[in-house]
Amino acid sequence: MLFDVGHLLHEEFLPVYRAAATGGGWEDAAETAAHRVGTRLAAAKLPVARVVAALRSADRALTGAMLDDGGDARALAAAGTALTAGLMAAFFTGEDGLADAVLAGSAPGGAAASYTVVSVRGAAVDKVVNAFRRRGTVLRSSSGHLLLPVAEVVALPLCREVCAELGGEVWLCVAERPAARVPLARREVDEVDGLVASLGRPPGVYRIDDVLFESAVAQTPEARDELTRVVAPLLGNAVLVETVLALIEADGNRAVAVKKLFIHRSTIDYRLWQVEQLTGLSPVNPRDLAVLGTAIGMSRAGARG
Amino acid sequence: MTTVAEGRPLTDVLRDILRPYALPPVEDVQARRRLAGSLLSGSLLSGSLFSGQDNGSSGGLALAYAVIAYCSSTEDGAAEVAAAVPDHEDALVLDGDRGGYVLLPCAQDGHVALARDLHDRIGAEVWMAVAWAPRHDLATARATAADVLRIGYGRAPGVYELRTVLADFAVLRQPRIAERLVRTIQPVVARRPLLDALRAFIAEDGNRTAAARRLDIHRSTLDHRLRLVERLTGCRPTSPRELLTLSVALTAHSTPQVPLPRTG
Repeated sequence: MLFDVGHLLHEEFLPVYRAAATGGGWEDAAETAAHRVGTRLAAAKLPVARVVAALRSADRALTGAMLDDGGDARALAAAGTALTAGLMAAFFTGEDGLADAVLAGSAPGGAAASYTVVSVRGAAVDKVVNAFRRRGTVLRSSSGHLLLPVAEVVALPLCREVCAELGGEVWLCVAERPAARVPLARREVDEVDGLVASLGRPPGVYRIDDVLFESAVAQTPEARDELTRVVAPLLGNAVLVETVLALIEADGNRAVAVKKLFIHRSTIDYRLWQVEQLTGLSPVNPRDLAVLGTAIGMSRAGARG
Repeated sequence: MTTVAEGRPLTDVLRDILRPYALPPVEDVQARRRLAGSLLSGSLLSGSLFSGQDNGSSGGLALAYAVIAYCSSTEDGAAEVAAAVPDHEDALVLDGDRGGYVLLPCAQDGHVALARDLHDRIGAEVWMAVAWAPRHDLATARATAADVLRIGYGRAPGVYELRTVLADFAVLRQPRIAERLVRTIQPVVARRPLLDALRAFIAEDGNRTAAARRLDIHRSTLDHRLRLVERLTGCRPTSPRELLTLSVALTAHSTPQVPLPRTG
């Protein structure tokens, strides 16, 4: 592939230098840009000498231009260093190609023994990748899945840290498999993420254990059909649905649910009796209550999906 | 054709082909058992030869059935079920030593009441699982009823249907998920007092006072044991969702085989 390396660097790095010159936050943008350019140059199989030469001249030109406009010299130097380091790291690992190969089930030599696949929802993948990169190796695939070359037990606390750091509404789903069977892990995280989304679970880190029952039901046609039949008569009645969900949230404690719903104790008893008449499941029984909650969640999933 | 493999004379086979739905008389118990077996295994109606004739009006077979799988801990109990089946021309029984299947003609949504009615007429400890299906889908209903019975057999005697054991059923059908749950519950199963506490808590529908009474222990002892269960499994028994997970994990850990006769 032939392209103008100097021009590419100038175009990609200019916003970073500009941010550094004006004293704004540039660190995240630098990591993302350096990684993007580095993997692109690696894919083009450019000789390393050409990359280094182009980096030097781009740094000189951009720093010079920003200094002329009265930019902060110290910040510009730091940005130049971060960009160079990030670009060279990505250039030498060529990791994007590796991620796609591993995800497709054809792990080349040099791949780790096993990977934890992470799906990202609710945050820009770039930001998540940068947060992981600060904690260790992360590979990013073109599908947006991340690969961590560590076991799930190691990945889980990392993911929770990243979630906490990013804040807000971020859902990460993880699954680990040996390198040769990573496609299964990818399918698993996609399934978990789909269920977590449709069941309206709060932001956080999830794995298959957190949606085992839902996953088993989704994969068993007889159970799925029965669940649909169970909940169908209930769905037309928003008040009963709200009552069931409130009772689940109250861990089945009617006194707590009554306060949340601002209703009288005898009202909730009557409503729960109605639910039992309609569904054949008793919301007073915790297991039946959990099944009702799942049925409501999965019917919403079906309606959305 | 399976009938040929069983070594039946060709004339018998041909008679079946020509008159597939003719019900043998009530006195011909063996022929009726064979018919029940064929219906339940799906071998009678699976061939394309028959589907054209499946117009719903043919010789005595109903359009849809309640499939009741049953078992008892004693042979007498099982015999009592077979005897309690209404002496009706349309009712078919495939009985074994300690369990079997009953086929009762039934409209949709009527199957649970039919099974309860049958169960009420039996004095012995009997477990029943009931499913409903149109005639051409009885093999699926049989498989569902058999699995539901396996789950119910680990609980109190009574009538079970898919919706009352839905979570257990789904996990039983997904071995990969069942394995994960077994690993989760293993540390509890290995500690008898904790296992008993969890079982009692589940059996009493999450009522701690009743569970403590059932075990004849102090309520605070029970609370302590349930907290240990949570520490070992990561599942909190007082949350309905997590109690369901624990309960299903126990099913996955040990689901008994039930003594049902072969249908094929």
